[in-house]
Amino acid sequence: MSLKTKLDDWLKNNLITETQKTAILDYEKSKAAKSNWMFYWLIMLACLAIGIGVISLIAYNWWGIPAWVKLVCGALILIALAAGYALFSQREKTAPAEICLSLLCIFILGYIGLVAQIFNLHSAPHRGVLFWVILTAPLAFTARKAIVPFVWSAAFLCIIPFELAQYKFMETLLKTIFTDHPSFAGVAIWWFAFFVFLWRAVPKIFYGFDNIRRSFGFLLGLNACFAALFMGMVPFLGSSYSPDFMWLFIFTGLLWPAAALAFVKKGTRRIWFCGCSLIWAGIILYSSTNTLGVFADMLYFVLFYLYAALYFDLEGRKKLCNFFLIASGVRLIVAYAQLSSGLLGFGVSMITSGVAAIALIFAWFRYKSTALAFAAKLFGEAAK
Amino acid sequence: MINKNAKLFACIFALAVLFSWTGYVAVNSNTGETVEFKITGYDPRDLLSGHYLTYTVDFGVLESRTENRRAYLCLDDKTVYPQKPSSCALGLAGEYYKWNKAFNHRGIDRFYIPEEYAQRLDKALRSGKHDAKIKVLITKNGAAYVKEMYFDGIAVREFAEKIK
Repeated sequence: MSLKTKLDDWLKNNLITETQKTAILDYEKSKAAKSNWMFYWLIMLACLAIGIGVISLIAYNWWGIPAWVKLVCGALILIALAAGYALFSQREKTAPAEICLSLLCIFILGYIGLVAQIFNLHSAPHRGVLFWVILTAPLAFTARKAIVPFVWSAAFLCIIPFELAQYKFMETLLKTIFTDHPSFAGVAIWWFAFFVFLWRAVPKIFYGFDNIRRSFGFLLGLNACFAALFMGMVPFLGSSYSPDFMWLFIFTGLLWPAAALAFVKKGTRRIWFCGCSLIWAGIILYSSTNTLGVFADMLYFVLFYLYAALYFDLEGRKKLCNFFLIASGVRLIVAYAQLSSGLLGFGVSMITSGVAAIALIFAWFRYKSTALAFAAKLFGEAAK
Repeated sequence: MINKNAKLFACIFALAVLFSWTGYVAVNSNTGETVEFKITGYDPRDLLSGHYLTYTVDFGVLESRTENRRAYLCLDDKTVYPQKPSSCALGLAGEYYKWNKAFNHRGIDRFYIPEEYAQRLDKALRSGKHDAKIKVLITKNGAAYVKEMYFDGIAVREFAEKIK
C-alpha cells in the first residue's frame, strides 16, 4: 500500500487532519527526492545507453526484415512504453514512469528515423528534430523529473536558429558573421552574446525558473545547444565537418564549466566560466579526438571527472559529486562507442548493457541493506 | 501536480500524430506514377537514420522558362516553369539554379542502405563505371518517393550481393 493510500485511509478514519496529511506527503517527497537523486541519474544514464543502442540499430539499416515488420514492432514498443508511462503515473510510481517516458521520447525519435529510412525520406537536417519537438512537447511538460524537459529544451533551442536560417535574412546574417569575421574571437563574442541571452532571457520568458536545480539542467541543455550549433556552423568557418562522436565529446567537455556555472552565484565568476566554456569548445573543436588515442582520451576525461567528483565530495557538495560521477559515466559511454567497429554490434551491446544496468541499479537500491549486511558477514565490520 | 489525463493525452497525441504521419507516408508512397532518373553520387552518412547514398539526380532538363529559384519541372516536356502549368500532367516542384541550369527536388537525393554494403556501393556510385538509376514515384500533388535504385539495370540489393 502506497503512503498516499495509507494517509487517505487515516484521514478517512479521522486519525490525521488534511494539513497533517499534506505536511507528511511534502516531507516524504523532499526526503525521497534527496535520497533518490543518484538513483534517477543512473537510471537516466542507462536509458541513454539503450536509446543510443536503438538508434544505432536503426542506423545499421538491415534489409533482411520486411518494412512492415520493422514498423509494427516499433509501433508496439511505443504503445507499450506509452501504456507503461500512463499506468505507472496512475499508480504514483515516479521512477518507472520516468523511465518509460524517457524511453518513449527516445523511441519516438528513433521511429521518425526508421520511417525516414524505410520510405527514403529526406528533408532539411533539423526538420526531423523539429517534428520530434512538436510530438513530444506535451510529454515534456508532463514530466516530473528535469531530464526530459532538459533534453526537450535543448532540442527546441537547437532548432530555432536552423529553422530561422531557412529564411533569407537569417542566412545572410549568419554568412556575414562567419565569412566576414572569421576570427575565433569574433565567433566567440557572437556566441557569448547568444549564450548569455538564452541563459538569462529564455528561462524567464518560457519557464520562470528560479529553482537552481532546474536552472542547472537548463544550463546543461543550453551548453548542448551551444555545442551543437557551434558544430553546425563549422562549414561556415571552412573546416571539415564530422558530426560523429565529436558532438558528444564537446558536450562532455562542456559539462564541467556548465556545472560550475550553475552553482556559482557571483556575476564575475559566471562570466569567467562562460569564457571557459567557449575556450573549451574552441580547443576541443580544433583538436583531433584521436590525438591521444581512444583509451588515453577516455582516461583523461574520466580521471578529470572523478577528480572533480572527489573534490566536491570532500567539500560536502553531494549533488556536484554525483553529477561528476555521471559525467564520467557519459564519457565511458563515448569511449565504449568508439571501440565498437560496427553499428549492429554497438547497438546490441548498448541495449543489453543499458538493460543490465537498469536491472542492477534496481536490484542495488532494492536490496542495498541486505547486500551490505551480507558483505558485513563475509568481511566483518570493515565492509561497512 | 499534473493531471493524469494530461499525461494520457500527451501519450495519445504523440502516438496518434506519429502513426498518422507514418500511414500517410505509407499510402502516399504507393499512389502515383513511376519515373526513372540517372544519378551520380557522393557522401554517405546520417547519425540518426544510418548509411545512405547521396547522389545528384539528372532530371534531363531540356529548357527553362524561368529564372526564379523556386520552380516547377514538368516531366511531360522536361521544361522548368515558374509554377505548375495547367497542361502538365506529371511534374515536380523544386529549385532551379540558373548558373548551372540544374533542377533539384530535395527529398529524392538519398537512398538508405545497410552499413555492411555502404562502403562498396558508395565506391561503385562514385567510380562512375556503372549506369546508376533511381526509380521515383511521383504523386498527383507533386510529392516524390524513391522506390528503388539500380546499378547496370540490377536492383541495388542484388548488386550489393554481387560485388560482395
